[in-house]
Amino acid sequence: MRVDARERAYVEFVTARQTHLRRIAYAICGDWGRADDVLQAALIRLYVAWPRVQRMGVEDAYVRRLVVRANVDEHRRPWRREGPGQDGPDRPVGDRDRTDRTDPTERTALFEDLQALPAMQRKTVVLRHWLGLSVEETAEELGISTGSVQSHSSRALAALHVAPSRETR
Amino acid sequence: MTTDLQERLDASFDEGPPHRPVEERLAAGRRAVRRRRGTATIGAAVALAVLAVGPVLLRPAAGGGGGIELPLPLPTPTTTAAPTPVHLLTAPARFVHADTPPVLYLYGRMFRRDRDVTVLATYGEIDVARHPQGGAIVRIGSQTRWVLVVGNEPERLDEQREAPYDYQAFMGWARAEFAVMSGRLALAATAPGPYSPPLSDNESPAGYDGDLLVAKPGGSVVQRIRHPVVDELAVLSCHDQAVRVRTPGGDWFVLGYDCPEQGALYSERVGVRADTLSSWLVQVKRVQDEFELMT
Repeated sequence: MRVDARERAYVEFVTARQTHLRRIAYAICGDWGRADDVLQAALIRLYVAWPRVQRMGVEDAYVRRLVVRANVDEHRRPWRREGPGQDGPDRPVGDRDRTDRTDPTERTALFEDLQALPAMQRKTVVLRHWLGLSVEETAEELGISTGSVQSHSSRALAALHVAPSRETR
Repeated sequence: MTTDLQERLDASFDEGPPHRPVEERLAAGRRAVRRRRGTATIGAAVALAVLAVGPVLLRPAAGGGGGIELPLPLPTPTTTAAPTPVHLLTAPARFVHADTPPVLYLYGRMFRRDRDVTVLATYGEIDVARHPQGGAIVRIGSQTRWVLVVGNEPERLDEQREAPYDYQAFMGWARAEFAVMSGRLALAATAPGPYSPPLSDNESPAGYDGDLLVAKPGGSVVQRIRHPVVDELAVLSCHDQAVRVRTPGGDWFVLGYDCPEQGALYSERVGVRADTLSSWLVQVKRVQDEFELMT
């Protein structure tokens, strides 16, 4: 692939997708500065890997995985897989009145509730319930079993005071 | 309910502050590529990209290419029109052995093996400096062959198949195979000790059974790591895993990627680079991080 064509395609992708991808990072880390750094690091790697990633048509998924795992990497040593209790105990989320979800301040409260979740639960919610990945895709993305995804999902939804839906594909 | 939650989550925060200029992102990417390429020239050997889905940087052959750094660009790929012979220099006889493919790289430049080889078309990744990988459609007697080569002699990996002249199909095959070949060669070329060619999938002591990497008959998996950290650059839907396989002839590490359109195994004897699967993967990852380049 010629450099000019490669850069054109890369810029086109970044321009179109960076807002969405940074929102993913933000939903996971809760800080715009950190989210921007994480995205920048991921986009650099994307640039390096662009020919093969574009060839496979998985640009979005590639960056998303790097974004999700950028945070994972801070907390996990290489080769270490998820084990029981790795997230630590569930922390209580904010105790707020949940009667009016259309109120703008309530939206912020939901986001803050999301941030109060343990990391894996938070990521599960982001991938599974916001981005709409299947249980299997979420498991693949996080490098955990489908059972763990369902467990994280169930606990997270309970903490967010959301009734769980059927956890199927 | 899920849809409701999806909508509420989507509305729970805005789009954030303005983005940094895209030029800045582009420049950072370019710098990363330059750093990696620069690192690669310092010494070591080979780039190991993402193994199954990534390409690599090949070092000049030990002792053979010393002092010669940059490959010359390949001849421009021919079109899909009727084949017109491409002129390639004939390799010096001292570089030609029984297993030498019809085309080969010396000092980063493609040669034909001997005068019996007629080169009908060539294809090269000319965007990738210093790590030659290319291929050719050749005719030898009445037979037409597709040939791919990665690396300078003697650290070379090649693949061949008998096939009619079809340049577009050949290029498609080449693009897919280069990633696997270069990753595989990288692993072999960065191993301590004398260079020995990497194992093919058929030669590997492990293979995929569905999504699971299993030992071939006569061996057994004694350790398995799913989604090893080297999968960081892998893509979704790749069944990446690493195993230690015990065979009557000794233990092997095998790293496998089984992706939708590609898959490959990377096999190495235990003890060559590391004694444990985890430490072997760390070494593989280090090579990947230090030398990754793109096609």
